[in-house]
Amino acid sequence: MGAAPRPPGTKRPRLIARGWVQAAVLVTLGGFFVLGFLAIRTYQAQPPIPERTVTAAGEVVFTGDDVREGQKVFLRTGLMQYGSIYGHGAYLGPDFTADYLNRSAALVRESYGGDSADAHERTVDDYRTNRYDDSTGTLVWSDAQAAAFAELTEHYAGLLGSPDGKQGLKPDAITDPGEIHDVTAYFAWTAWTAAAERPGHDYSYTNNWPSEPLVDNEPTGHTVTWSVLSLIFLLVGTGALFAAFGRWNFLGWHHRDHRELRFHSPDRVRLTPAQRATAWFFLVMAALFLVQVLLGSAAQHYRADLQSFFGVPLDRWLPYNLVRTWHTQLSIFWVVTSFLAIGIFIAPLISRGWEPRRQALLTRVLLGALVVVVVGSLLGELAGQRGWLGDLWAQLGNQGWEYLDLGRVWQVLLTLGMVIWVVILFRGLRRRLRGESVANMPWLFFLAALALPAFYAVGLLAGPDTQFTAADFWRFIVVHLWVEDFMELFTTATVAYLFVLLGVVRERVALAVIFLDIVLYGAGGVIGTMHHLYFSGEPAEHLALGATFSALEVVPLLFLTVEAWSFLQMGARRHSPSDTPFPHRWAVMFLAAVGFWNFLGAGVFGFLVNLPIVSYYEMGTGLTANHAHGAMMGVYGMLAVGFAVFALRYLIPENKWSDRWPRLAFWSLNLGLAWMSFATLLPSGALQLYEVVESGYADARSLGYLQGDTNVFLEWLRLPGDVVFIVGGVLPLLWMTWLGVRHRVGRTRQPGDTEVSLLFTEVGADTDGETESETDGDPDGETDGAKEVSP
Amino acid sequence: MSGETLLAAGYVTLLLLVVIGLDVYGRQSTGAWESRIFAGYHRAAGRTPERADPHAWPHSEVHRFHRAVSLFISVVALVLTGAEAVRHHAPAEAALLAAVAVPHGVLLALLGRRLRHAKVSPPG
Repeated sequence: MGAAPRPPGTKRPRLIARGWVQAAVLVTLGGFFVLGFLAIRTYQAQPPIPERTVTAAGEVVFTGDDVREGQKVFLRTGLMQYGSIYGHGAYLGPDFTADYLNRSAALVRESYGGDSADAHERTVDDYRTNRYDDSTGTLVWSDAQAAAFAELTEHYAGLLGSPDGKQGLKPDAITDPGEIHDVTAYFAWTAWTAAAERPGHDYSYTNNWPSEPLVDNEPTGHTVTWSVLSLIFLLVGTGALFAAFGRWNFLGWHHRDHRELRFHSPDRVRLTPAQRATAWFFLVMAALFLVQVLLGSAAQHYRADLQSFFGVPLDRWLPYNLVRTWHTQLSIFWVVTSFLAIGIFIAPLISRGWEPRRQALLTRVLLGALVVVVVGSLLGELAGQRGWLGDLWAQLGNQGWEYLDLGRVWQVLLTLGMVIWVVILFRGLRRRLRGESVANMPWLFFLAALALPAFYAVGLLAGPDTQFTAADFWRFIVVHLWVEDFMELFTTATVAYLFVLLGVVRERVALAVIFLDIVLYGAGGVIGTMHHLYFSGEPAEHLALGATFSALEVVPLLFLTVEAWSFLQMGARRHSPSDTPFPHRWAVMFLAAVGFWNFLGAGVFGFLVNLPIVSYYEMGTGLTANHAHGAMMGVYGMLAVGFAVFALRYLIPENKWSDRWPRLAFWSLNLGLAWMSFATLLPSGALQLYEVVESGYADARSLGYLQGDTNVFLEWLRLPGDVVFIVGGVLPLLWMTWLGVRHRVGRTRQPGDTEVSLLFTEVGADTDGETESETDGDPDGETDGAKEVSP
Repeated sequence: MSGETLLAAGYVTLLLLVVIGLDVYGRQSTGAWESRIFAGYHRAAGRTPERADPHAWPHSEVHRFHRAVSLFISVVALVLTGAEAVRHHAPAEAALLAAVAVPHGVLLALLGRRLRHAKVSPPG
């Protein structure tokens, strides 16, 4: 079959079977339908905030407004980046839910006579019996519970208002007695929801989380049952996919590819003005990465030595909650910067060298806006936590939800920045999009990009007034669904497109991989988001569905490795004898690292903590940090660096390019990350998990435990790996990105260059002589021998 | 014997399994067609495509990367054992730590040599 020219004005037909598109749409719609249902159930079943909590004699302990104000104090002062509520937040300070529950139950029991069985029974009755009257909005507490509240208000006044610091917070962090009362009321209310039984059920609003023997909090039947069932679903799901792959040849790989490739030497590739402008993005990316890891080391230092930073009282200027806020925010910022840049970089390649006027100007405007948002939001978080912004703290300062810490104005501006980015991509792609079926790669790339601002914007639904359970639901739409599904989708589309543009993967195969990604992640990842919300005040159905579908998420992680392998098929391509060597050795190696960390950091370490019964004890321990670093840095971090290395190969002139820097960065980042995980996070997390099971959650999360001899020893053991990571990994990257800006190739594409072969590759004759009508990215009429061989 | 030494010895032994596991994982073919996922397809189609040459780039370098990471975990294990020995070195503790460190040392020596001699034949 020969290449038939397309009549002008008609669209290139869909390259992939209709079934793929239907499956992708159905699975996505199904996932979001269930997610919508779960959102409604969140609002229906979240624990109530009593309008007043009173003693039997009618004395008011605290009001609903106190609780709501307490949440604002908690958020504004950055306490979610110090400790946690329901296990969600930071892991240095206590989990305030578990801490309050443990301390107050101990006081109540003491007042009932201490260790006797009767005292235990009365304590359990005080906490588990739900004395909330929905019709009057009144919760009745025992006198002992009220007395414990008064005593714990003093305790938290001492902890949060300590004039010496030395516990991770700035000295005198919260001193206002009214604020102390309110924030204690907030902790007390979450502790009440953690033990009081849901009406009609024999478990608490939090599915009996945390583990607390004083109030008989132990895993529910649901927690155990769905753990077992989710394991079964995982096995069945994997088996079914293996069987399906046996039955259908999904990906259309029939035999080795015999095309001959000739890679253009990077200096022969003419960049467009917008592509040239991305050099600044990569420099900003590397600078943000450096700041992020330095802040990470400061945060880590607090775990190793709370007293001071080698004699410097760091907590006065950079308390733990501030450095962790910046560390987590920057982890999103620097990765996103690279994603934005690579989108702009490949848009002209997709459009076969065409770029509209003023695209470079828009790109520079976007970079400027990004810098303003990043710097503005980080300074806002500092000012907000310090209380310098008055009533504007949530708008301009520190909104305080972990990962969505930035003020609302900055959040809106960041979303708008991503919208500008989508506009830039649309301008660059519009000529190409006009002639393409919506199911083909240019549209998929564009739609994947469009999803990024759309789903980041969902985070706006979590405000300071939103009740924790609902806020956590929306927060994890960003933290999980945006990151794990939509960044993943954009990543797959981008990586697939890069390989198509390089000529090493056929467009049809790349399309199949993207659709497979949508189907698999749609099936597991969308509803799987609920695996973060087993114990945060959601009803049991979130636990059941979350456990089931997130277990299925392991399946695509397994497949992603296969997908990475498919891209590595390029190694099997024969290159023509006289060609330029494949120029992207280190970009490909970073992608190989992505595959490895997808398997280890996301797959193994993630599944390790995923089952409800494990999560019940494990949540908020070092094992979560282990998974987070292995997955976020291992997958998205390596990917962001890989994108940068890819683009820099063209931005840095051939005579200034050296493989030495990317090689050093590659090995240092990977080995440093492996060290971090295996020397510290994994063993200390495992020990902490043991401590939870042995002594209860509150104890394992206490500063006393973290400062214990063994834990401190493990925390210090991280130091050499972190030095390797920063010095050998991040600094060479920063140097390379600087070279990209300093020596950017000056010559840009001119209108007359349109006819000059744009692609990095030329494709020689297909030795099998079969060609397909039209393929991507090649103005010279590339041939593509996609052959269908029926099984 | 201190509990910490026992825990360290246990963890270092566990790391031995991790190193071996990752090394086995790293030896798997990175050619897409050799994945077991396609076993059913191979049976149905009745033809097996050529295997990816493990010595050809990028497969060669990906294998080396996997092996380097797994061996590096042995280095972590040795450092951990050494640091633990500085903290607790009663004769029994030192003997236990030495016993769990030896297999890592052997692995490092054997596989490390192979790693150094592995050719990756980078493009160009």
